[in-house]
Amino acid sequence: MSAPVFVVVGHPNKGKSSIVSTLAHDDSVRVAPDPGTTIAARAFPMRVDGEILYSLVDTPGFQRARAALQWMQEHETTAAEHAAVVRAFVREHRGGTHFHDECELLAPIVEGGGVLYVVDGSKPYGPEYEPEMEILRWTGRPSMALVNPIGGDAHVRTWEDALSQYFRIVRVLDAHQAVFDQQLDLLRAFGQMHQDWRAPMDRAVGVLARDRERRVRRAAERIAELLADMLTLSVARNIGADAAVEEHKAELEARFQDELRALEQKARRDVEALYDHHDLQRVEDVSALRQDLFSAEVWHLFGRSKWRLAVIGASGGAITGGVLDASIGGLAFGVLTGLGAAAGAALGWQAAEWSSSFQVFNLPGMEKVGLSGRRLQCGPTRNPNLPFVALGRARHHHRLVASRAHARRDPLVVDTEEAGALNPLEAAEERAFHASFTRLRKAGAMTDAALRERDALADRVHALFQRDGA
Amino acid sequence: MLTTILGVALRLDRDRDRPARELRERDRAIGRARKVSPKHPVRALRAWIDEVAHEEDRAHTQRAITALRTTGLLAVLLGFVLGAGAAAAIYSYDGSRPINILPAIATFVLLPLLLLVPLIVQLLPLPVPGWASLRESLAALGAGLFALAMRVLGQRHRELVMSALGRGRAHQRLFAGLQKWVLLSSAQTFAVCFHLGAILWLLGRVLVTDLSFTWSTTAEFVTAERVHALTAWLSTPWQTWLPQAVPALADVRATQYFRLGEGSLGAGSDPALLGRWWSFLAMSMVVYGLAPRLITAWIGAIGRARAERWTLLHLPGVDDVLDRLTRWDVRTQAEAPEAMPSEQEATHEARVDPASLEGPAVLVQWSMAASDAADFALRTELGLDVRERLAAGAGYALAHDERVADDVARALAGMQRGRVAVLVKAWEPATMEAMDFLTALRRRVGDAVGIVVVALRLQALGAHDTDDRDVAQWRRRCTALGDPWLRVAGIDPHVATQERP
Repeated sequence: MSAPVFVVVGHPNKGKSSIVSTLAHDDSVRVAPDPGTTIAARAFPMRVDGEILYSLVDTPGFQRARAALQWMQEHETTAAEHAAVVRAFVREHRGGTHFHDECELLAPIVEGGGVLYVVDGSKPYGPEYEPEMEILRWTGRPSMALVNPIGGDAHVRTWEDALSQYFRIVRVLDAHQAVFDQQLDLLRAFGQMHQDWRAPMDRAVGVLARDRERRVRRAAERIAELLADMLTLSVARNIGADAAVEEHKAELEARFQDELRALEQKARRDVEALYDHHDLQRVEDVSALRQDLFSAEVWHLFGRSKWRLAVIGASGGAITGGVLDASIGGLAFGVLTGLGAAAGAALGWQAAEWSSSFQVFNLPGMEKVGLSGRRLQCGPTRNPNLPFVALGRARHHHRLVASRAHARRDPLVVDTEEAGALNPLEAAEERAFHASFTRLRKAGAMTDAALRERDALADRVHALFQRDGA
Repeated sequence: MLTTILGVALRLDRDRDRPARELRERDRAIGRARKVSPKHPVRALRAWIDEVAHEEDRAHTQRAITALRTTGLLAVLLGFVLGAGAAAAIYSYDGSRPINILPAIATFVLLPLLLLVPLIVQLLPLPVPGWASLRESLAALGAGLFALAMRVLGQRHRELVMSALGRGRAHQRLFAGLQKWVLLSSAQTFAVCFHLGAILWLLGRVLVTDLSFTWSTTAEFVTAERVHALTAWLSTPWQTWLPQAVPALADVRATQYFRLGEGSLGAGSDPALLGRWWSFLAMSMVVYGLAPRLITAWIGAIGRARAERWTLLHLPGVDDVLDRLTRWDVRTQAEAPEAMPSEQEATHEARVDPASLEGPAVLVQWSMAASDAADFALRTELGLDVRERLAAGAGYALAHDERVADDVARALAGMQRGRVAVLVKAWEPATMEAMDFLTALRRRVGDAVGIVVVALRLQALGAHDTDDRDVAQWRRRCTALGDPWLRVAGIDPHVATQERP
């Protein structure tokens, strides 16, 4: 049995290519507001290891539906011959220019394809649609109507009433907003068009769901890799034995921040590619996603607040001071506990702001062989907030990319408030991430311990993504 | 394993710029053909590299591995030669003076034990202050020795070995562990060969010649009792099952040698005793020289195998290869490129002088485009005075369109400077059917008669805001007809009605 073929047809410029682009996860499909963007039928086979489970076919819109229907009516004998007449029409006019678009869209249907008739639910119903629906009825093929409310749903109800007179199944799907689960629902519904198509479509949906899980996991691994790289990143330069360290700090810090940004940008591109967004436009100037990694707004949006870090610091300091107090038999009357808490709080408060970690290594005797005598290194950062900021941003970006329909051609825009709402981690999650970040810092780069910890971090990020509904 | 590591690394370099889809297709086909499993990643990568290795890379890999093996073989030979040479020097005996066993114990027992210390430091990451620094220093020393050893090789061999163990600084962190274990295991192999060479030389000499062993010292505190205590302690591992290799105190006393004059032996000496030391010396060399090195060589081999596996599985890009080999290749995208529409160049702007629109007009409502306020907008915005109203397009037969065109021509004949207005829905696309009607209309009314396509905005229906894009799209389509007296205008009756005085 051959795999089902679903031919997406309709009036010109009513979102056929948008539907195909979204269902096929193909952002290379030209989706334009001008009619006539699609000039030839184009197949989008869903293959699993080379085996085709189903195909979508994008087609041009009807251009001369009344004339085509008139030709068919002139050649009609009985209702039983309608399908044969449509086939004859295609045979007669294929290769010509007058009914080029009609032949392009009808050919895959008469060859055995199912009909997916697409209309725009934001525009009113009109009599110009009836000849083409009549032609599609004449084909005798299994069919479904799809209302795509491109610019709103003002006329969806009217359309559903009108379409139900021609099609047994009528569904509504906004190609620009449809999330993955809605896409799977629609594909499952395709299987209801014909009894022979149910099994292959159920199988295809199962494969797509599992493939999606794999992509989510890979995205989590990529984010874990990014976080590990950020936590172990350092840049260094040799400086003269007598050079002023402060003079070189600004330059080195700028380099360090540039490299952090580059790591984040690369990870974003990789995550987008994982979800088949190869041509995604990202504008880097307005929204939260586009905020610079080091802007104060983003730092406080995704990272832990100053007060929170101060409380954490105070707790740690108080415990340390308490231990010291206890060790001297309470002779300090709890003063050390208080001092420890105050010092911890101050450190926590300071840690909420961006700060670099600098180290200077002395290289004695190097001047004698013409080399610099000291090495100034920026990073790895010890700031507790950086990985939380990076995680928050990555998670936010992932959520946007994973839920973005491939029909959309607008740049990726992120709402700041929405981003902030995503920020909170549950207390247990936050503790687990903090412990993971600490272990990654200690393990350094490319060690067994680091890679084991990275895998564990990927598990945590994966759980977070699943909670986000990826 | 090194062959696989190098082959995989080279192949990954070659694949870096190849399209992801091509790689997935290729690798999944290999994965299915070779039935690889994600549970056995090394086996999967071996199968993969068997299939995809480039001929040039294969040859390069082979050369590199041969260079590495040659280096290893040289280390083995050098170990044997140096071991035998050291034994020849220490156990040198021409019959004039007996062999002093104390230098032999120092060289083949104490020194090897001492040399085990840095190795233990390297292998055991103890949580002792300063331990890590010590390990780093030893690692640096090891790297220095490795670099020195590489200098001994020729330029070509050096490059090949380095390519087998890690390619440049970019992969230095990744290959550092592997280099350490290769160096460590090679050093242990060398040490095993050294001790084997020395032991075999000693046994050979014992078999084919007579040797005399004594011990000598100038230090007063090195007494026979102390030498015996040392030998007894050293003999502990074999004293129960090989007592003949454990020197007795009397024998130790008897074999002390003084070189003064012709030379003399200690009290109770018997020349027959002088040969009995060999079994003790041979056992000491086996137990304290060879055996520890066999153990460290075994640890080195295991460590190296683990490091090789670790390096292979953590090469950048290997995760992707394994994913491509073992996971379904799921594709939903188009396989053929999209056909591009040809650019339709307008020969001229489709417009007429706006002033010429003023006057009487025949209105054709296309596909039931209608609005109560349309007449007012046509008059106020375009200056058209609609005298006759006709309908064509959807809802009618094609023949009806032809008749409407004729009716328009007839109606115009009775008007002075009459115009034709075709009212269309701006939100519906300008199909070829509409263009066919405009063409037929032009044929009927003749040239120079102004035809204006009036695109009714959706806003007129109070539902949605339709932007100028729809009107522009009608204008583009009409422009392509090449009719110089054809104009497209958009009207918004809703707005016009609101502005009505």
